[in-house]
Amino acid sequence: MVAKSKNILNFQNGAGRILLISTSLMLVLIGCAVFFSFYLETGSSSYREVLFLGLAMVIALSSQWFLLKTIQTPQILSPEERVHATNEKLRHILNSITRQVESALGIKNTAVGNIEHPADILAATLIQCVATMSEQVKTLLSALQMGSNETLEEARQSFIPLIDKTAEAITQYLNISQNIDSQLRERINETQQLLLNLRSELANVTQRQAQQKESSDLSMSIRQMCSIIETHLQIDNSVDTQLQVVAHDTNESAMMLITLMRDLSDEARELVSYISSSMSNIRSMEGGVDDNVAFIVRIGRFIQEIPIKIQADIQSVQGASGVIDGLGYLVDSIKEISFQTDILAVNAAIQAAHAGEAGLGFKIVADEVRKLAVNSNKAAEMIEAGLETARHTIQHGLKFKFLDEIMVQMDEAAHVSEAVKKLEESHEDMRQYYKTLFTVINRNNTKLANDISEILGSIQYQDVVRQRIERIQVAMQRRNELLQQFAMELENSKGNIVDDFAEQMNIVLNNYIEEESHHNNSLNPNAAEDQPPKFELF
Amino acid sequence: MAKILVIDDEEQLRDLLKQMLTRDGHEVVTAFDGVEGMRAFNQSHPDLVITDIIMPNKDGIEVITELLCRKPNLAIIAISGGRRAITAEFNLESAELLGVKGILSKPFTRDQLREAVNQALGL
Repeated sequence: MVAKSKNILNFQNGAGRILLISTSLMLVLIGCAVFFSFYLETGSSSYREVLFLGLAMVIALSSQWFLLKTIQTPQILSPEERVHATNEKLRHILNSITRQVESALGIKNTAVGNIEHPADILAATLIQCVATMSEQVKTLLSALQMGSNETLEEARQSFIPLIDKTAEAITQYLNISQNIDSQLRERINETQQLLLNLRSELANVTQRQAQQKESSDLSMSIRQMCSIIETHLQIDNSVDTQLQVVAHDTNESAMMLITLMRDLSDEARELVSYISSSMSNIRSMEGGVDDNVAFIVRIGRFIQEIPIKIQADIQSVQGASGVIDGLGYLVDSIKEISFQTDILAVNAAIQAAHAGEAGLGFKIVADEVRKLAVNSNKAAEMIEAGLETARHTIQHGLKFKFLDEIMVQMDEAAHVSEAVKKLEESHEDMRQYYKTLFTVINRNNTKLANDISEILGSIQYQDVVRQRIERIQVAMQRRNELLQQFAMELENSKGNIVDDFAEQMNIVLNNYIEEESHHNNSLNPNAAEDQPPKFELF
Repeated sequence: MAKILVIDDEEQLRDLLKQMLTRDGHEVVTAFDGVEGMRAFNQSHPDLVITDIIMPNKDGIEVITELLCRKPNLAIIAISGGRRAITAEFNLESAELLGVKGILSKPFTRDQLREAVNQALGL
């Protein structure tokens, strides 16, 4: 109903205009009828005036019918229907369908071309007639007011052809209106037919849409499958990206390891060479130090033996002196024996003299005994002198030997001082040498420790790689499980598995990305993306 | 050209080095042992340090170690003539292992000094 009225209004712009004109004309004709009824009451009548009145009534009724039809149409519509009629979606559909039908059948051009053109001409004629009639009516009214019969007669004479002309125009208008009406009916019928066709077409379209919906469902499923495949690809891309990172990191780590190991080898080789040459120098210095130490030990031992030697010498000298002293006692005894023997010899000689010749032999013995005593005394004196000489010689010799010992000791002491000085120098050299050695070794050990630490870090990086691969494996395993499940359910055709599968697949992807991101953030919270990941020590 | 710190306990050699380096256009600061050498380094911030190894108070090995700990890329030339059992080769090899840029065994010529200085300064 709404579509129908809309279509009528759409291609009846000229008819609407006619309705307005006819309404105005109706009012004029009613005035004229009133005028002529007044005139007829005055006694004059004619066939034309009656016909004119009948035409005016017909026109008035027709106009009223059109007017009521046009006005009542929208009044029938309830507000819900208006709302419904103005529903955007339906209007859009109907408009689009209407445009398609109009463009296809050419209704608009033919209808507008057939209806508007003569109606416009007729309307213009009617307007002109009505305007003229209006002027004539004014003239008649003024003539009546003035009460001039001549003027009234002139006005009536001039008004009659105009009425004739207007009646002719109205007749043409009625004919044309009838034509228009018939054409409108035809068009309405055509429109109704078109609407029926349109409805059937719409039904077909609806059916096709239903078919297309099934097809669309299939397309939807295909799109969802494409989305799933896209998700697959995203997972694969994510995994591939991580694998590339892993491969790059592993390669970098391996290259770093090789470089560090090469540096470490060079440093170790230099250090070994340095330590080897240092050991040679140390052995040389140790040989010098050993010589000095042996010399010092020999000197010490000698110094320790000096008092013993001196004590032994003193004891020897004291023993020799005691022996000499003992020999002195013997010399004294010999001297006393010699003295007593001499006294005895003297007494024997005295007694021999007293004995006379009998004592001559005894006197000779006494003399010999006396000579022996004298000789014994001389021998004792000689022994005493010899012992004195010996004592003097011992004491003198001991004195000179001790001085020699002192000189030797002084000489040895001088050697000891020199040796100690050499030993101090050797010790200073050794201290300096070992200090340098330990400084260099310590610094190189520090470098080696740092290099080894970096190597350990690089080796531990392998564990980061392992963790990444494990996360990838978890995601891939989950995806494969879902794929297997999806394949089974697809085979069994259970429900709408595509949506569930896509959702679960997205969960797998999001979980993997989130875990990887979380892990990267935990490794390096402030790092930029292009920066290499840090080692994770554990 | 460059600011050079010379550390050597031998006054004659120190003066000779200063004269040679000054003649080549360098600004030279001298010190007679490691302690004074470190003090001069803190004050003058030289581009190059030429140091003897065997010195009283603080030897060249200590100086080199401390300087390289503070400034790892500092240009250092070690000079040594050895002493008694400690040879110049040992001292210079030790300095080289510590990371000096050049070594000179006493006695050395002016050309050898200039070449070592230019090489250490990257000229």
